[in-house]
Amino acid sequence: MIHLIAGATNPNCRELLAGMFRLRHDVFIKEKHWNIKSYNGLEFDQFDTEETLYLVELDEAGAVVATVRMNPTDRPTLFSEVFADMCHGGPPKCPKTWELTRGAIAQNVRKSLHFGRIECATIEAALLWGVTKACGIFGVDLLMKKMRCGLDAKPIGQPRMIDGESHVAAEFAMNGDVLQRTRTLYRITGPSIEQIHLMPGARRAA
Amino acid sequence: MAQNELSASRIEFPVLQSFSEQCLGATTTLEITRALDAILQARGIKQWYVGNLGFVNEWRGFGFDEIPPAWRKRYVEAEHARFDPVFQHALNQGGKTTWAQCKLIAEHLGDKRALQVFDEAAEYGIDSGLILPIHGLGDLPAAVSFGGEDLDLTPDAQASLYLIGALAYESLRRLVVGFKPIPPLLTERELEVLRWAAEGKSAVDTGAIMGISAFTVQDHQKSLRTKYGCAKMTQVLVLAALDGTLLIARQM
Repeated sequence: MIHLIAGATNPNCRELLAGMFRLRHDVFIKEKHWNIKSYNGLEFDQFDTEETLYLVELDEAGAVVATVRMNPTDRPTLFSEVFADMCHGGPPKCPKTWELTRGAIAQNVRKSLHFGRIECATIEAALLWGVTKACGIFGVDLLMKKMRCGLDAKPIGQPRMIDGESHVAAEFAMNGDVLQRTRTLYRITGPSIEQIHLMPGARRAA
Repeated sequence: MAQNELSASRIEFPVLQSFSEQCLGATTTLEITRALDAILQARGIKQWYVGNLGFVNEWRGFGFDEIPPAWRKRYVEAEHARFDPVFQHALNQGGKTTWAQCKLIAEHLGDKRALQVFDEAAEYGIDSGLILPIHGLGDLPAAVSFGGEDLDLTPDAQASLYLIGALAYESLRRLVVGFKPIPPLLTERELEVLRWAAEGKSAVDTGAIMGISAFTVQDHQKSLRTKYGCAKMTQVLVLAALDGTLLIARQM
């Protein structure tokens, strides 16, 4: 089941958010040894805000197995604050363009079709929020995986070796055609997002 | 010999952007291979390969290349692929690396037959390069390989070349293979269980054949159902037959 959660401090989703931050800690710090901060086994940073959206996928036992973080690029992002030099002509700045970061899938389910479900959920979320484009910094392997998912990934900057892996800033369109293509590839017939948790008091016409 | 004068330390963004647009907008594979060749030739890369590395009884993949004819003839005749550390590295799902790294390992192991491949390639003016193995998403093993003489393979140059290779492979794959459903990645045990399920064997029979318990077989079946997103093994078998996984399982 995939949950769409608005806000890093959403009081209605404390357990889900904690599980998501824990998965990020396990993947990025314990497994990939990224040099980033963590707090009591939870990984979060200044880009986890009340404006941030998260996709959080749970397995049958209720454990968080996949997540992705989505931030509008008209606010400070990893792109604008840390990796601005990786974008030719400056980082994207548009409320209709999301930056995708901290995409993580639990090690034990990586050879399953979770990647396809979370990709579909990301496009569904973009369509719900009226977002037309997504961008991020991706390793070449992940970029290829996204292209094979049906996304038309376009480099928007010079690639660079980071931790021995070629990384590049890239963007891709998020629309109904791409969603349909990705669903077909992963044999997904219906919506991937099953629950949406807005911040209390927030209203959104979806 | 001085480092190839045509080699830029990296491929500048406008060139990458233009190549990316050509790849995504191409309607024929020729458009992509021509664009790729133009970028690579300008940087002293005279041998390249983009495609699958093997086949299961019948060719199910694709491959595009630019290889000096004399070297291609010699490579095939001498059955170099069986000993070529670069080819074997990609086939065995290694990571991205340079030919120099593969050669270092061969030297360390004292593998004379492997080193012969490097020595002969150098005679044809191909003494350095890099390899981008491609695996995952249920595909046959594949790779992108770029080679030439005294190539500039600084980290910046490698980053650009890996990106060029990735864009070329995925764009060519789209045109050749299309957007077919992506099969999940199965373990060897799961493939074996799939094969016997297709033969109509029960979990007990399959366990006896494979030398494992029926419970373990059921665990593999559960994993197969999860990976295919199905409630029943029959559905898994139908999907595996459609996406070619069953063919691979039967030929193990």
